[in-house]
Amino acid sequence: MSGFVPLTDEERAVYEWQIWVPEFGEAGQEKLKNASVLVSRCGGLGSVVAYELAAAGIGKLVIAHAGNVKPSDLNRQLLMTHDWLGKPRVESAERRLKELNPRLEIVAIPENICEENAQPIVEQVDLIVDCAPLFPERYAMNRQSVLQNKPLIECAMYDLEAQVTTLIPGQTGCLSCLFPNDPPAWKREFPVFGAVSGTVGCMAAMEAIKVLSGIGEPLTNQLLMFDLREMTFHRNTIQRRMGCPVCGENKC
Amino acid sequence: MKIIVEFTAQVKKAAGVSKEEFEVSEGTSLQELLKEVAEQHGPSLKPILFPDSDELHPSILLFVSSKQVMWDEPLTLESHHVVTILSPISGG
Repeated sequence: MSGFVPLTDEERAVYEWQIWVPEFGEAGQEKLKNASVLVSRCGGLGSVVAYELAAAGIGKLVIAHAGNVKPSDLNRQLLMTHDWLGKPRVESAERRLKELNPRLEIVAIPENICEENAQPIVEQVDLIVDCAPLFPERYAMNRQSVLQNKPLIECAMYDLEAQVTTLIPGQTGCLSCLFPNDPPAWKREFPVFGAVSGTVGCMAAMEAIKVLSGIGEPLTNQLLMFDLREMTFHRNTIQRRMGCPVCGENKC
Repeated sequence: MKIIVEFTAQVKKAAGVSKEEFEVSEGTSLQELLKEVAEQHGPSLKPILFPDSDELHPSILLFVSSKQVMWDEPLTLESHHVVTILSPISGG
């Protein structure tokens, strides 16, 4: 965060209700304004994460998502619209985010994260919210989170279930500690409602806001798991693996 | 003693239930219980939990009463324990 920029009167008016939040205040809002976040991808999870961060007044969003809008995106990818079917997803996302917050700086990348592009993309931000549907993308972001010492919010959903945790290099393990192997049973396409991805997306956005502004207690060293079919929520303590090849003592 | 076993995500789909009660004898280890769970559910669950050997597949996580336990960590079950078997999800 270089070149700290104070709030304008317009921003004080727009964010008045959250500036009232105890411990957050105007100082917290200024931290969000001067912060940058990578959201990858902008699907069911990432659409909601990006929308909530845009609404909250984050200064800069880097969004990464390849491909064009398909009909099957529209039950959950809330930044995609019918009139943008067949056109690039990141363009739809950028347009919707700008409608909500015209002050927001957006870097829209029409690619999914991979080992080759992760480093320069992560270098542009202070924090990462991982909303990718495939583990290789998640592992690429995790590696850069550790190498560049940047917090990584992990969120995921399946059916009516979801998981979220906050990984902070030096304070917690990393994604490879939690899931050391790419799960063979995971499939690219899976059952889900938009209300499930929306729920966990809001939680991940709130974790990002907490970490960036310094309020509350982030979900570190814990995995929140919930099942909206039964409305059960569990917080489980998770371990760091000392032998982790990404963040452990013998890391590569 | 009775131990409650909870299943999540694809493990739940394979088991066909979200939780189940298992009757085990005193001194049973977590690892012994897992093998019994896999045997009881046979063809649906065993390929996910133990696809190649007697070792739990490394992508599967275990929690005992909300604390993560590694597969190679010896743990004797107690009557108040709730065992959660988690398969990773990555839905975006």
